[in-house]
Amino acid sequence: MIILNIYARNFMKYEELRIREIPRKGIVGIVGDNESGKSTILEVITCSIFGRTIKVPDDSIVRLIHWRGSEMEMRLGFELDGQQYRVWRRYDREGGKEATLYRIVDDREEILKEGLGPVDSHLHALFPIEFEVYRQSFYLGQKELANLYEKRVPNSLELMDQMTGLNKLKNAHENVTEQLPEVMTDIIELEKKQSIAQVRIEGLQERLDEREVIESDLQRQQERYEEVHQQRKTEEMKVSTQERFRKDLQRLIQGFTDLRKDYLGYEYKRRLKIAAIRFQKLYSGLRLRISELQKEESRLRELCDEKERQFDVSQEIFRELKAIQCLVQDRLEQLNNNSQSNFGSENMKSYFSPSTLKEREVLAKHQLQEQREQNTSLLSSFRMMGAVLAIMMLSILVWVLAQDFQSGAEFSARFQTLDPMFQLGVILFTLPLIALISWFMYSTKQDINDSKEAINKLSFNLKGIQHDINQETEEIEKLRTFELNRIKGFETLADLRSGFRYEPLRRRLCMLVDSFQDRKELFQVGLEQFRAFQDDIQGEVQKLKRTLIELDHHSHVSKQYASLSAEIDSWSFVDKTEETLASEDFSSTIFAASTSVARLKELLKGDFSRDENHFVSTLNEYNELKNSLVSDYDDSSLLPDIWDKKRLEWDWDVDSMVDIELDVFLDKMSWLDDQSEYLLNLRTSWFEKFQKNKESLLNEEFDEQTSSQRIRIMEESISKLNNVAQQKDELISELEETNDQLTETRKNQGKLRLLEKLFRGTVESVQARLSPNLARFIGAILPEITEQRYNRVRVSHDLEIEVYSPDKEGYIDFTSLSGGTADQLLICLRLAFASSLVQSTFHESYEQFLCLDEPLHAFDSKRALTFLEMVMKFNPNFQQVFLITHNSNLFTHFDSILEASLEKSSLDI
Amino acid sequence: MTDGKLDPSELLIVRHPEQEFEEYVKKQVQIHSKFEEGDLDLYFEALEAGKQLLKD
Repeated sequence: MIILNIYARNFMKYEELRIREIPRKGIVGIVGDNESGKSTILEVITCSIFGRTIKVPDDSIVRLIHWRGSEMEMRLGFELDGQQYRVWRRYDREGGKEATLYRIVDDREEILKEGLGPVDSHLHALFPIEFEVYRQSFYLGQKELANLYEKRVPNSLELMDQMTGLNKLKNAHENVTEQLPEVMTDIIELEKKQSIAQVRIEGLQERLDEREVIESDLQRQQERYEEVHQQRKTEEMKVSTQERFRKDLQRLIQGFTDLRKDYLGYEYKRRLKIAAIRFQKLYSGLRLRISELQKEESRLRELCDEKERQFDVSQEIFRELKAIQCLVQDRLEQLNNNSQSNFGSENMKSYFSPSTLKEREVLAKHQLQEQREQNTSLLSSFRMMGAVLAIMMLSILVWVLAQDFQSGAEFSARFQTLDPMFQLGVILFTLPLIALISWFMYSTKQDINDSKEAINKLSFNLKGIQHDINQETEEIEKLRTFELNRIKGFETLADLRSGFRYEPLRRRLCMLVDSFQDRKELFQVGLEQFRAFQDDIQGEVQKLKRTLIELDHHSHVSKQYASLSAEIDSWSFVDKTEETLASEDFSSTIFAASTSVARLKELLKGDFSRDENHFVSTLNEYNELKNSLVSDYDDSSLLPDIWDKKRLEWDWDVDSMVDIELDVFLDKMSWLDDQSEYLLNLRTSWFEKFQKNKESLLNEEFDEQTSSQRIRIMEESISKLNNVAQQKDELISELEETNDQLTETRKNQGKLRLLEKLFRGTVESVQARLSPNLARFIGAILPEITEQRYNRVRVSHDLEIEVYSPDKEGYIDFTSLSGGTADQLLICLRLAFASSLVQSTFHESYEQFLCLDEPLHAFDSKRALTFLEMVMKFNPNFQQVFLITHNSNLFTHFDSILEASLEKSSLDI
Repeated sequence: MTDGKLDPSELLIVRHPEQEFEEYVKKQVQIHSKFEEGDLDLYFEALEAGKQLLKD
C-alpha cells in the first residue's frame, strides 16, 4: 500500500489538512516543532485505514474532533497492487459515523462500498493486516519500540505468529487436527451403518424364503374360494325366492286385514245407526227430566229466601231489645252517679257546678246553713241598734223630764240660753246619729226579711232535691231488677216520674214491647216452620246434588252423542225425528247402547267410512291375490281358504239388520281374528324358515369373505414380500454406497493424517528457522548502524536477544547494552518483523509504506544517516517511508519534506 | 553484504505459508526412499488440499 494524498478536516490539531501528490518512493520527512501536528499526519493515515488511531481507542474517536468543530472528516488516497483507491470517513460528536470506499478509474471515483461496516470489511480484504499487527510492524513509534520485545502487548506471541505467517500454518494444522476425530466418527458411523445393512439384508432374505410356501397356499385358497362362491350364489337364489314369497304373503295378509276392516266398518255403520236412534230417545227424556229438576230447584230456592227474610225480622227485634237493655244500663249508671257526691273534696269544681243530685243536696244544705247564720247575725245587729236608739231616746227623755220644761217655748228658751256652740253641736251630732241608726235598722230589717225568704227558698230546694234523691233510689231498685221478659213493668216508670227524660224512652219501650210481643209469637212459629223447611231443603239439596251428578254424566253422554250425531249426519242415512225419540225406557238402555257403540269403535279403530261396494271390491282383490300366490309358489299350498262366504253371510237388507245381535257379529269377528292369527303364524313360520336360509346364506357369505380375506392377506403378504425384495435391493445398493463412502472416508482420513503431519512439520520447520533467520536479518543490519561494533546476534525461540561483543569475546545479554545501542537493536528487530509480515502476507513485488515516528532520537547524526540509507535499501518492498524527526541534519537527505507549524491549524501542501 | 547492498538471502526471514508448506512437502517426498502404490498420489493430494486450506 502506497499513500498518494491525505485530507482531513477538524482532525485533532488541524482544522484542515491537505497533502497532495505524496512521492511514491523515498523518504517523506515530517518536520516541525513539538506539538506542531507531525504525528497527527500519521494518525490520519492510520485512522483512514483502520477507523481508529494509535493514541485513542476506537470507542473514543470523537475525542479526535477539533475543539471548534462538531464533526470531522478524513480522506486518504492510496494505491494497492496498481489500483488506486480513496477512503472517506466522517464522525460527529453525536456518534454519527459514515464511510465510503471509492475506486479510482481513469481519474473518476467509483463507489465500492458505503457504510462503516462494509467499508472496513472491504478494506480488510484488500489489506489483510490487523490493527495491532500494523502497530507493531509498519508503524514504528518511539514509544512502541520495546513493546514487542518486552512482551508488553497482550498476545504478543500471537502477533508474532501473524507477522511471520505462522498463524496461518497453525490454523490450518488445527483445522486438520479438528477434522480427524470427525472423520473417525464418520468412519465408525459408516461401519455401523454397513453392519446394520448387512444384518437387515440377511433378515429380509429369510422372509423372502417363505414366499414359495405362501404362493402355494394362495393357489389352494383361490380354488376354495371358487367353490364357496358357487354355494353362496345357490343360497342367495333360495333366499331371494323366499324373500319375494314373504313379501307377497305380507301383501296377502295386508289385503285380509283391509277386507276385515271393511267388513267391520260396514257392520259398524249399521249398528251405530241403531244405537243413535236409541240414544236420541234417551237424550230427549233426559232433557225433560233436567227441566223438571231445574224448576223444582228454583221453587226450593224461593222458599229458602222467604225463610231467610223472616229470620232477618226476628233478628232485628232482638237487636232492638238489646238496645233497650243498653238504655236501662245507661240510666242505671246515671242514677248511681247521682247518688255519689264529691262535694267537700279537693275537687272544688263540684262546689261551683254540682253535677249530681247528691252534690246539689250537699250544696243546698250548706247554703241553707249559711243563710241561717247570716239571718241570725242580722237579727243580732238589728236588736243591738234598737237598744242603742232606745237608750239614746230614753236619755233625752230623762234629761227633758229632769229640766221640767213646761212648754215647748220654755224648752226652746232654755235651749237658747245654752252656748250657741253647744246648741250647734247638739243639733249636728244627735240628729244625724239618730237618722243613721234608724237607717241601719231599716236596712237590717230588709236584709233579715230577704234572708228569711232565701232560707225558705233553700229549704224548699233542699226538700226537692231530697225528694229527687228518694225517687232515684226507688228507680235504682226497680232498674236493678229489670229483665227483658219483664219489659211490661216499665210502665211503672211513668208512675215513678213524669219527667221529660223518661217519657220518650217509655213510649219507645212500650211500642217495642208491643211489637216484640207480636213478632215473638210470629218468630216462634216461623222458626218452627223454618226448621221443618230446612230439613226439607237439605233433603231436596241432596236429591238435587245427585241429580246434578246424573246431569254431568248425561252431559258427558250428550257430548258423545253430539260427536256420534255429527258422524251419523255425515253419512246422511240416519233420520232424526221427534217420533223416533218419543219412546221411553231410556235409563236402562242408554248405557248399554253407549257401551255397544264404544265396543264397536274399539273393534274397528275408527275405520268405518267405507261402503258395501268397497267391501266387495276388496274381497275380489284379496281372492285374486290369493289365487296368484297359489299359482306362483309351490309351497303356498298351505294357504287356507280363509273367506268362507257361507259362514260369513249376512242379511243385506237394511231394515232387518236391526235384528242382528251383537253376539253374532262378535262371533263372526272372532272367526276372522282366528284366520288373521293363522295367517300371521304362517308368516312367522315362513319367516323362521327364511331366517334359517338366510343364516346359511350368511354362513356361505362369511366363508366366502373369509376365503377372500385370506386370499387378500396372502396377496398382501406376497406384495409385502415384493416390497421386501425391493427393500433388499435398495439395502444392497445402499450397502455398496456405504462401502464406497467408507473407502473414500478412510482414504480421506489417511490424507488428513498425512496433511496433519505435513502441517505440523511445516510449522516446526518454520519455527526452527525463524530464530536463526531473525538473527541473520538483524546481523545484516546491525553492523551498518553500529559502525561494525556489533555484527553477530543470537535470537532465542522466546525472543531473547544476545549480542556478540568483540571486547568481551562472547555473547552478552540485551540488558547489558547501552540505551542507544539497545534501541538500535530493537529498531532492527521491528524492521525484521515488518519485513517478515510483507513476505508472509503479500507477494514479492508488493510495495508498502512505513511510518517511523521519531525512532532516531538515540542515534547520533552519523548513525542516523547510515540508518536512513539502510532503511531504503534493506528491503525493496518498503518504497515509501514517512519519517518524523527533529534532526535538521537529515533534512537534506529526504526526498520531500512536510513541515508542520505550531501556529497554523491548517496545512496545505 | 556485498557492494554496499544487503544480500536478499540474508533478509529472507520467512516465505509465504503456501510456499513454506509446498517446500516442506517436496522435501518429505524427496526424503522418502520408497513409496507404496498410491502413496505419492496421496502426498500430492495432501499438498493441493493444504494449499487450498491456506488460501481459505
